[in-house]
Amino acid sequence: MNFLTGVLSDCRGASFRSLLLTGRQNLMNVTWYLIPLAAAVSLVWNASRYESTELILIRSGRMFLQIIVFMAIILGGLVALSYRL
Amino acid sequence: MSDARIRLKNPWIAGVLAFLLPGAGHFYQGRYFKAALYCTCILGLFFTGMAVAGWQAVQPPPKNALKQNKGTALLKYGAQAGVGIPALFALVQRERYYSDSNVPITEISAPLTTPFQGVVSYQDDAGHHAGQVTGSLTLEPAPEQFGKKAMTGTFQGTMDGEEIHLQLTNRVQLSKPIEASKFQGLVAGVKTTRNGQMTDLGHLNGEIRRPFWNWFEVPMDENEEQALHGELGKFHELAMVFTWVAGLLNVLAIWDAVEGPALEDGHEPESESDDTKES
Repeated sequence: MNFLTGVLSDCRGASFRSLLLTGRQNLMNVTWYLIPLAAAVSLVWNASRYESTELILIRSGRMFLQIIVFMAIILGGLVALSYRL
Repeated sequence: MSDARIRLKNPWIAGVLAFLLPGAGHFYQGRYFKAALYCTCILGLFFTGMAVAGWQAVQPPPKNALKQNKGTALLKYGAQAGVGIPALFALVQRERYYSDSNVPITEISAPLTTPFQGVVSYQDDAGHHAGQVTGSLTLEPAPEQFGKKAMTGTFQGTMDGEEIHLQLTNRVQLSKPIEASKFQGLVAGVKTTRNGQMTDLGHLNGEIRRPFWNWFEVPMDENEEQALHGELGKFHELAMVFTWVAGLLNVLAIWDAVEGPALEDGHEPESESDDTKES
């Protein structure tokens, strides 16, 4: 039975892990995931501060843009620093 | 800040509901827009993170995590647990995983037919055969021998593109029913005919699909965790960030359900410059 147990352990190893991941490899650049993240953070943060729907949406939109612009500036700086590296 | 214009009903019930399911507390209070917003944003982030990590982003901390020097695992899970039931289910799975009944399976009570893939190696009168097999596996209870229950079965499928039928011996074993892997390992002896006599010199190794509830949010060992991280790379970190942020954002939602919004509408300063103008 020890042999069987050993083989079962092998079955759970890396060779079978690849099967587990088949069909859901991410091809999208990780940066795009930051947009919904920023949108959700803006909405929840502002919803926890205001009650008016209109105010929540206006403030969230403003905060979302601020986050995106800030991240774009940082990204631009990093791209500039890594130019011709 | 508690706003008298907002009816919070019983704030503590709302807080507990908001913790268990993002948005539920606000729904209870009749604040439907906020309920929808919190539910969509928080659960959306959480389940996006889960999907990116193959639904394996939530890992419950081991029991006695602090004694085992695994405080980081506790912190990671603590952030995810903020979303309530979707993450708290991992604690149930941890109990099931570590229970004494979660052991490799050597017997079966009713016949089971399931897709199977793996490798086989056996000898018969035609010689030695080995290769990858894909097909359907049927497992069934085997007659008791010396008072010990066992299982046997048959495999019907293809080996390297050719039709094959295998009869399994009573030496069939499945790995633990509850593990983090989506596939359950199987190893079995194969009966063959050699020189006119039945032998059980062959063996079949592979895996069958594990039911969702038997792998979802089940604790991983270190090797499994590293393998997942190796496969996903930075997407694993992204998934973790999504689930952590979702849990932490729900703290704000819980606070809002208990105390109301942090600022009264129309009474907050527009910006620092506006304050300066006023003064």
